[in-house]
Amino acid sequence: MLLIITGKSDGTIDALVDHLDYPFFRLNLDDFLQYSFVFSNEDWSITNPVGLTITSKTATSCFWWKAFMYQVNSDKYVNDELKIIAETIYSWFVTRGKVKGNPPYLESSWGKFRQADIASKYLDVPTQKVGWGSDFLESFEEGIEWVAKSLSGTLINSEKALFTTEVNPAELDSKFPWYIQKKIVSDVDITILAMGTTLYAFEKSRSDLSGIDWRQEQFRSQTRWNPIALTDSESSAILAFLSEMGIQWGRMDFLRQGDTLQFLELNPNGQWVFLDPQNEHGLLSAVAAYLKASS
Amino acid sequence: MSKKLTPADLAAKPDFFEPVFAEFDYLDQKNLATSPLMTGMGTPTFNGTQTFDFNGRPSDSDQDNDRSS
Repeated sequence: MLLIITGKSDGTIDALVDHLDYPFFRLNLDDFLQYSFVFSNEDWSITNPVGLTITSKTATSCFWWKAFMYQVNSDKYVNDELKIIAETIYSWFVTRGKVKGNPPYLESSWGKFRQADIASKYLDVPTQKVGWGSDFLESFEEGIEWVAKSLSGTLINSEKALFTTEVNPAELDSKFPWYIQKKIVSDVDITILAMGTTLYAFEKSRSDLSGIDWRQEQFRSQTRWNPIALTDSESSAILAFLSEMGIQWGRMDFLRQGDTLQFLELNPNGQWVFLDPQNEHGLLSAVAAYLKASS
Repeated sequence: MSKKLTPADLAAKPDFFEPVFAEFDYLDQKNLATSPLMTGMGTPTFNGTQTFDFNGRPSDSDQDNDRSS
């Protein structure tokens, strides 16, 4: 039985469960009081309000999906205790090699620049730097277009976000930390979901973007993501990159520039349902099959 | 000398949809909603990679944000 550790209002898991044709158990961490939960060093069991149960004897694999993204509990003590409990049960699967997908906080342990460094062995990666101070901001070559991005994605003034924005480094305030990348001019966004050694690639035209970051306009845009075939060399390069990163699951973002894929980043727990929300291209079915592999 | 730009000067308001909290069906282990999309793709939003959750954290991540371009 597959254990999914997530949140009660998670739409990705809502969409996914319709395609799971094998036993699974959904633990909504932010709804913990609805479950009975017993965990010891010998065994464990979790039962939901209608009597569905998963135990250390029936569990075969675990998929962590954004359980910490939801406010687990308003009481900080309870919140922090539950998070460690969730990590404890996840670790039970990790030590047995029964995890599908990636653990939380994986990217934090990598850093964007380790990604970029490894990716550059196999893929085209735009120049990028992070820093502050006048020396840093004066280090950017003139005549090249640059964009500023956010590493954390944290909201500014509680309501605004720094999306990818074209900047002139000389005009930036040196007292702030900046993540700056060479601007890639492209007509097409490419995003690829990796599952094992299979890559599911989609593209989206940038023709209707008013800015340069599709996420800023994602709910207004009528442009859809369409599946595409990668070339053999593109697939080989991406799989080599993933192999060196040591992961089998994740979503990568690229920009198509002529015949070249420009690597932007790997999101080990990135969203993917938006690529095919109705399973018209079989993405939900493919994820369900991938998660089943060791069930 | 003109004022230098800060992150706040460059920031924009993200797209946002009001969440729809539906009843959770513990037998089917999913939310009961008129459309499954209405409960969002990771957070209670519609059709896409919700950019930020209610606590101001990037929802496309567990400490894992993504940005294009």
